[in-house]
Amino acid sequence: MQKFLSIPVTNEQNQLVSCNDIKLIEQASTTTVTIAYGGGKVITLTHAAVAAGSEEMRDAIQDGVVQVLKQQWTEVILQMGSLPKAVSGIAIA
Amino acid sequence: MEKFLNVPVFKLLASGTTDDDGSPTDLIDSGADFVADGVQVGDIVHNSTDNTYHTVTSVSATELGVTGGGIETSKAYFIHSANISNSQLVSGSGVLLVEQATTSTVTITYDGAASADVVTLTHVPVASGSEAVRDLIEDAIVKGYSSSWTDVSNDVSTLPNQVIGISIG
Repeated sequence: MQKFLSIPVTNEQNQLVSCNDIKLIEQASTTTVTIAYGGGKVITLTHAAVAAGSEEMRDAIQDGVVQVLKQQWTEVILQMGSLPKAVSGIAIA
Repeated sequence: MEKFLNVPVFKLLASGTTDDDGSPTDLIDSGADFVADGVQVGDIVHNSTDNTYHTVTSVSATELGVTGGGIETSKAYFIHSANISNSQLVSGSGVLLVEQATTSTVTITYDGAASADVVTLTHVPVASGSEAVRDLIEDAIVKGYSSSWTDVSNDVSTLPNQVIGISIG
């Protein structure tokens, strides 16, 4: 059962980010959140800066993951329209 | 079916390096302002140079009273609140083994081939030989999988051994 967050990216369309096989979500810096998956893949969301010590973007992503995973199976996507900071890029490594 | 542990991580209030010998009762950093940082009696001090843990017994701007013999000069320290936390999700899915790796760390190893598939929880130490935090994590994983599929996130408390950091890889 595949689930995704649909994240608005500045000057781009929304981009889907998988919510399956996530091991840990971290506020890696004031401008990045990393999502670590099984197998070692890591997606990095780059966003407008949060205050030092704040984890509000990580918390928003965590809340989105939990929300979409408890939706019925036909609701594959959760629109992340109200993120606390704008996302400017999404990359995978 | 994805399941997560919702683990409270106790807030980092201050960090630095001691610049005077505070033993046998203190931690001294002339460049700090522990009052402004919000440090309070009962908070957690981690001397990461020597991997020792202490509890704050008194607070002034540049000096803390601490338990456990004080902290010598040139030691890196991190001070965490004993009361304020923010919860972080840790996967409970695909877990192969949970281990009490040391008295202050629990590792969760997943079934991926990558070396990155290990999450480490750092916590206030348990007694030597105890596996109390490992047992709490294991219990929470079992509880998560025996709950409804819509209960994606399951709260876990490791008190009195507060978790102060979670990392992967």
